[in-house]
Amino acid sequence: MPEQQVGRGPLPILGEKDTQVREENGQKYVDTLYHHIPSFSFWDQDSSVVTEHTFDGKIYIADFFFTSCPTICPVMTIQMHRLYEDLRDVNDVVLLSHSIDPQRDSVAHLKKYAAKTGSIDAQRWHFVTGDKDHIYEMAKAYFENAAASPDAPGGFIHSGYFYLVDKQKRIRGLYLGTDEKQVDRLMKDIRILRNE
Amino acid sequence: MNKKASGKSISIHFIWPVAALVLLLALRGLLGGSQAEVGGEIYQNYCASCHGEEGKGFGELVPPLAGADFLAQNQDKLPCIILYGIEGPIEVNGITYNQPMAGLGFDELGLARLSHSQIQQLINFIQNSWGNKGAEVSRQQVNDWLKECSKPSF
Ligand code: HEC
Repeated sequence: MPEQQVGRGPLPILGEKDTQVREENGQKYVDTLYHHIPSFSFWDQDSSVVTEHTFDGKIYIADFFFTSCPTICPVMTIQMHRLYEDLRDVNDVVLLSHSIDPQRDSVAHLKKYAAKTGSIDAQRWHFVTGDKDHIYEMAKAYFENAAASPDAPGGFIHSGYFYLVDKQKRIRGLYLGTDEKQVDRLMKDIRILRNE
Repeated sequence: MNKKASGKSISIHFIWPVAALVLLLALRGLLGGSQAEVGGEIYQNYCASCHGEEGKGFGELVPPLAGADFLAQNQDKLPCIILYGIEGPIEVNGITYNQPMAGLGFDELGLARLSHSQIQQLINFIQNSWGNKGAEVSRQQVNDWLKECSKPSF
């Protein structure tokens, strides 16, 4: 039976739009500029450098977590792992988990965390760390409100969202990574996006 | 005349299944069925997202509750773990886990989320699910065991 998409049209392109006037052969065109994820550079659990180019030609799902988080992170990791399994035979969709606690979450620490999660292929699921300011700057590009907070469990606040990013590096959906049903919806939306 | 008689027989037929159901529910109540139900609901709401619907845990991040030797040997620590969480390396069925679990007893404002009676029902649910066969825990035991712990800093 052919797969049917019920109730959801094309995915929105999230974030502020801008316009830019371009001149070509004496003609003026107005281009729409969409919010997109800027350049970045981190290390993953295999000590490989991960940049925006790692995701060229790929859809990816990003989140922000930290390994010593006692509340929502294990749940996020469990739900990310569902995606990882769901995408086993898909080669153009990968996962990107940013640590927001780079001080504790070294590459070695992330490697250990990934191993505890299962035998994770770093090419399909990057756990990344890096310069603290750079991570928090990137978090803003995803509209993530990550911050150090001494009062919060584990010392940080963050939203628990999964961000769906298309091949043009535009954010196409937000899903609460602690809610199985929203992750089900994300799985459907990944299919919609791949068929665009 | 006829009509009346048949009406009566229908209502009599109708009574038996209802009576059986009532009896069944009463028996289940006596055997702790309703306790297990409340405990099961609480488990779904507060524990299943990490420990799994079947209590199997997750990888080497979250230990199992089904068939867990730690659980069987540390029954008296359960109320404290549920309320205040647990941190630091622990060994469950031969695997070392070292991933902090926040307590589930209080919300962001520090208000109690689980009553002692709910904790009791949750424990009895866990102790009697997925093949676990723990001893029935009483309210008094929960109260006593909770005197052993206080809220940790995280
Ligand atoms: C955010 C994820 C999470 C939630 C929610 C959670 N736990 Fe845990 N739990 C853990 C982790 C991680 C450990 C391991 C702690 C360690 O390594 O010291 C653990 C350990 C335990 C242990 C001791 C080890 C074992 O498996 O016997 C018990 C008992 C336990 N949890 C019960 C519960 C109960 C009951 C609930 C619901 C009220 C609950 N947990 C909710 C993550 C969680």
